[in-house]
Amino acid sequence: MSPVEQCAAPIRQHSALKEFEVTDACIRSMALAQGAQEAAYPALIARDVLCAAEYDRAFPHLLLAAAAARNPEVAPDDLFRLDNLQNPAWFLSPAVCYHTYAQFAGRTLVGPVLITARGKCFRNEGRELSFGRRQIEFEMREIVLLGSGAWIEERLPQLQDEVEAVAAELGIMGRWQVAEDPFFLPRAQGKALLQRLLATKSEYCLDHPDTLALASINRHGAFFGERFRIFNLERSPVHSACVAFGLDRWTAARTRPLLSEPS
Amino acid sequence: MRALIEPKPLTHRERFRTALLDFINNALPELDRSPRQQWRVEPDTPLFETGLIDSLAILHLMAFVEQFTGRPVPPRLVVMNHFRTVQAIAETFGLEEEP
Repeated sequence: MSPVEQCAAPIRQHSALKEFEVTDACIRSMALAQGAQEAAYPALIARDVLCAAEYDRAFPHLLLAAAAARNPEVAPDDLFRLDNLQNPAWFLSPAVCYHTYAQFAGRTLVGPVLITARGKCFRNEGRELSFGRRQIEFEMREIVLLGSGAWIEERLPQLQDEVEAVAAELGIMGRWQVAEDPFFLPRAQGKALLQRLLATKSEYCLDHPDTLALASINRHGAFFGERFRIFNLERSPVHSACVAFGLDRWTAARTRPLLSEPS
Repeated sequence: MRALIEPKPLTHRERFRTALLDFINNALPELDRSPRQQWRVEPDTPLFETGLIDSLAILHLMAFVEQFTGRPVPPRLVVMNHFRTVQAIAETFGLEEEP
């Protein structure tokens, strides 16, 4: 069994663990220097939150459920048979920022909110897995912005510059490119086209022929403000955006510059 | 009596622009019945800033462009400069040859 089949994410110890933590520390310091408040969120996320975010419609193929046995007294072989699973109320978080929208759901913001959090994230990546490139479990640090559209457009270019500065500090060369999410359903493929046309998603990719996205900037407009009923003082839904960093990829880019596939 | 000046025949691009306007103003509302404000689109009407083209309408629009031109839309041309208005779409994709 290869390491990728045995573990959902790399086991880190000694210098590998140190490199990982140094990477996150640089990004975290930048986020705090930019005025972000730190938060810590659970690994599990409620089904209702994902549905409110329409994640189940956009990315059903990536979801991983936390399922409990309906009857724990059956024979061990039958314990996790499909017909002995409860309908899951909890899922493994596919990203950090959904927790932030749930945290502020139903609230009225008196001013802009800037949050940074690091979390373990889980996506059912069907393609070939490899550490530092594509993992079913990975760690992400995000900077989440909630506020007016004008404030977000003022802050995002600053954060974009900061992403480049952190990359340079860590010895990584990258470039920005317009991107789209891997939407699943035909209607959602229209969302991907709109994302590309409106340039609402951009990725900071490793400057290497074997392109790898290290960070992304995602503009959501008032989508999450509406879905989670987060309002400004004028009772309009706030706008949101997030800057996401794939910590496993950043660390791999630092320590394995060419990111060759593991043997 | 014949007119003294014959009207110039429409170029391929002009025919494409006319067909696009007809598609967006007449066919698209029938295909996409989502409740939203109906606009009368002119060649220079912004298609996206108004929310006129949403995630379903863009699929229909792309399919129309590909059907009319007989060519797939290359991903490199899926940028706002080429899709902002009917005029922009016609200028980019209304050529006889591949853009």
